[in-house]
Amino acid sequence: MTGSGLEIHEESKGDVLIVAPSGRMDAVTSDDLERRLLALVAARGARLVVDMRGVEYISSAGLRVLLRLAKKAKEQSGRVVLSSLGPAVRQVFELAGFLALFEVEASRELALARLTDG
Amino acid sequence: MEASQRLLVPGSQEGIRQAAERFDAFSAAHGLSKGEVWPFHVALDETLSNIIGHGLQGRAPGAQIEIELRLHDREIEMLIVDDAPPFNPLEAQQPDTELPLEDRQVGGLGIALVRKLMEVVEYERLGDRNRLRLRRKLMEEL
Repeated sequence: MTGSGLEIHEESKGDVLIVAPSGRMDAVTSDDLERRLLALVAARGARLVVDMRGVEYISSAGLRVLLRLAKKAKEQSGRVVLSSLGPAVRQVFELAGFLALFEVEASRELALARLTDG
Repeated sequence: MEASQRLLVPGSQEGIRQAAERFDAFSAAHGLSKGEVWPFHVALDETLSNIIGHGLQGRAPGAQIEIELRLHDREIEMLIVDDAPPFNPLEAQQPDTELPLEDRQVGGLGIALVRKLMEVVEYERLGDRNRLRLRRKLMEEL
């Protein structure tokens, strides 16, 4: 994979939107990612699981996208739960203090359960 | 394990993309896995974004950034050189990573990450160029 790109898979479970970015969340991909995620929230609702399993690494540009996404969801009385952080992503979250900012679950299923159980 | 490579990329968003791709090629050529090298990708992304977003902003197109990669034993050093105005990231203010979401400033986080991820971060201004040296051991894969 030459891989400066990022793909976003999306699906719905009830009124919860699941998005799964795959690739790198960095300065190269962040503008496009932010545009697409905010458009999804506007069109399909603000209760989201972001499944991070496919994210190879994340830099501050990617962290900023997640921050803006969470703020946007909150404005629309929604909520974002992250799931399945790989070791690289988890370590950057720890160093940046982001584990305290986000709801994080070990798996997509647990994240979904957290959103559906209230 | 010993190798080095010198890259020249444009001082633009495109340059960040090229640097990431060429770092991929460098690590693949020496059998390094993504799990071992991701901190260098993050550091490269942060450093180049800073140089391009701040240092080189408003400059005529054609500015270039020079990157020297050196692999020695189980360690990689990256020397990143640009001719933007002097900027020492070691003197940049650290963001408060304890604040709640609403109060969080998004700037400064990139440099803080570089400092936390790398074992060595050295800055010098030599002539009219900024030279940032970043080094650490390869990441242990879990």
